[in-house]
Amino acid sequence: MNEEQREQNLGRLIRAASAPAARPDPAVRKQTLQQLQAELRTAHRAATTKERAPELEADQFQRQQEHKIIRKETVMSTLVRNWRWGLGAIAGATAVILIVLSPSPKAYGKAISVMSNGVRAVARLTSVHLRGKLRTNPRENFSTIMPEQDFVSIELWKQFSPDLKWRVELPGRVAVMDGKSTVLFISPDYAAKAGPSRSAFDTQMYHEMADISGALEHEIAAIKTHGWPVTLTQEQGADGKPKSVVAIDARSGLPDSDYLKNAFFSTADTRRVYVFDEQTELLEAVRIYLHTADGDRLVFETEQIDYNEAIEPGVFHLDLPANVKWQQDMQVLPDNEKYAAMSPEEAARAFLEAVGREDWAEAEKFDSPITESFKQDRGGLQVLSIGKAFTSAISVINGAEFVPYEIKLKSGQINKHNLALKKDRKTGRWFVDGGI
Amino acid sequence: MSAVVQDRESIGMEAEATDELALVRQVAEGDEQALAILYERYADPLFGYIYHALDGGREEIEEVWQDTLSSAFRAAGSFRGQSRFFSWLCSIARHKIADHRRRNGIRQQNLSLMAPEDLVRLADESPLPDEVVNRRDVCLRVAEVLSQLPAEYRTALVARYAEGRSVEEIAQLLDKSYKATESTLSRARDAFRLALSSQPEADI
Repeated sequence: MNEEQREQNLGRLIRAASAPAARPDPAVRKQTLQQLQAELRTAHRAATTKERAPELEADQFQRQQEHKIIRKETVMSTLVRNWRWGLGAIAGATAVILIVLSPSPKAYGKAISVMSNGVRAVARLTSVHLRGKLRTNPRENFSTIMPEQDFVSIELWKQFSPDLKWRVELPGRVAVMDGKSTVLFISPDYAAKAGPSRSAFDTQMYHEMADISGALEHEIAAIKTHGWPVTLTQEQGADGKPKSVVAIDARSGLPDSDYLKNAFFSTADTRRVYVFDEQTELLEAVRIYLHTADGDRLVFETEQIDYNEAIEPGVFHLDLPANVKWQQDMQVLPDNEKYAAMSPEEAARAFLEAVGREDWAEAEKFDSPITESFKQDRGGLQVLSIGKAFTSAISVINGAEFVPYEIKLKSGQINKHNLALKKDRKTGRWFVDGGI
Repeated sequence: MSAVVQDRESIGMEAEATDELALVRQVAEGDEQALAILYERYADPLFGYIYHALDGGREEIEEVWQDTLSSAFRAAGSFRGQSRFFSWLCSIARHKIADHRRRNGIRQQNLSLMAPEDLVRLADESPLPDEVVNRRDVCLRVAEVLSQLPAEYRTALVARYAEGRSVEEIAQLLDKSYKATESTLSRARDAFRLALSSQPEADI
């Protein structure tokens, strides 16, 4: 690889780690310094002049007041911050668009207008409710693309204030962040839990759409890095009103032969189209087309985006069925070494054969939990063949190995697929990460 | 990187480490100006570190960030300079994050940090996939490495790659000639790459 590419890689790493969102808000930053200096002053006085108790108390009172101000600003400035970051993003987007379009003052003014309006609108947001459709399997990961599948509905509710809460839902999979934790439920009986998160369980792309300044920021970083072409055009919407359309041709950088190429939005070559309504100043639609050998295929489209609607509190509450089984961390086994020494092919065979014997305790050493629905669907299967493990370019990140297999289910149906396996860091054992 | 350049980086870093130890001692004696200098140097990188480590809401990040800084400066007298000041700040931040998770009943999320040598090898061999670049653990490591570089190098790299500034603009920022700035950027990249390929400093 040449030096230029190497420099690009380093630059991208630095850019990602130094994103504007990873920096403190200037107002909070300034106040925090004042607060720290006040604390230092107080502590130093306390240490050196114990007899000056009244002054100390006054200082403590002042410190408490400053502390309150900081906390208040922290809450109040949440939306303002979105606005400001957006402006930074807009400046970048404008520059890029001007290069692609034309350096004329008219085009410049138009680009600024489109983006600035969208960002100003974002600043006033308290909630977003996005409804769309996606070509995928209803129980698959939220960012999985299955171009040959029919569309299924996908929905996001996001409340920005007073507390950040969100829900993303496919017909067979839902993730909810209620401010305290994030829960993933896969129908009919699987659940996993994590801490409060901005975008856990593969929901990031929908959050970026809900916060358009963040989405543009992400896009602009990618555009700068890869030199993706961007166009800005104007069209008339179905409602007869003028719309501004920003289209970005994104490339994953993965070779066509890669197993995961076009499997997820992050590994796909796509054309992403953002439509802004010039009157409401808001992002009105997103369309994503997958580039294929046969041409572009629409794989995602928003159908409606509602802003600032009151979201029922129940949306952020998840009622789980009584028989739900929760994802478990892997534990070191008494005979852990035996499993840790397995090759991916051996692990795949051991797992599938355990499922075939309906030896669920053994199967759970590779995939926990084993749900009742899985037992019913896969129990008693017969292993027909196990192939040689292979990897994707993405495997260098997560260590995933893919083992081809062929099985015959009790129903007589024959399935051919690739079992995704990853190694658990704590136990050193392979675990099933998908593909069954 | 040549041995000469590497030595120069080491000398630069040591000088800054000595300087920061003196500053921390001044803070321990109540010097607000010294606190402001350290704050200017490390407040933003610390925020970035917590941002990538916590994966929480904005307010949670700000709360942990403020608590970390407050605790660190209150305990400045206990800093002995056995590690870089920023590493010390990060170790306090890790405790604060763990406390925060415990208080809120959040299960510890283990970041499967990519081995530094793997990351550098990958960056040397092929265009990095977005999946790598945007990974939280990778961002965390890069943020940590950036913060450990001499301030001039950090400024130059962030201005160039995060803010997209031209060499001319960075030259103005650093008050250097164009040629000297190009040279600084080149050395900064080498230092960044070297630090990235080193093992992370152990927990303090």
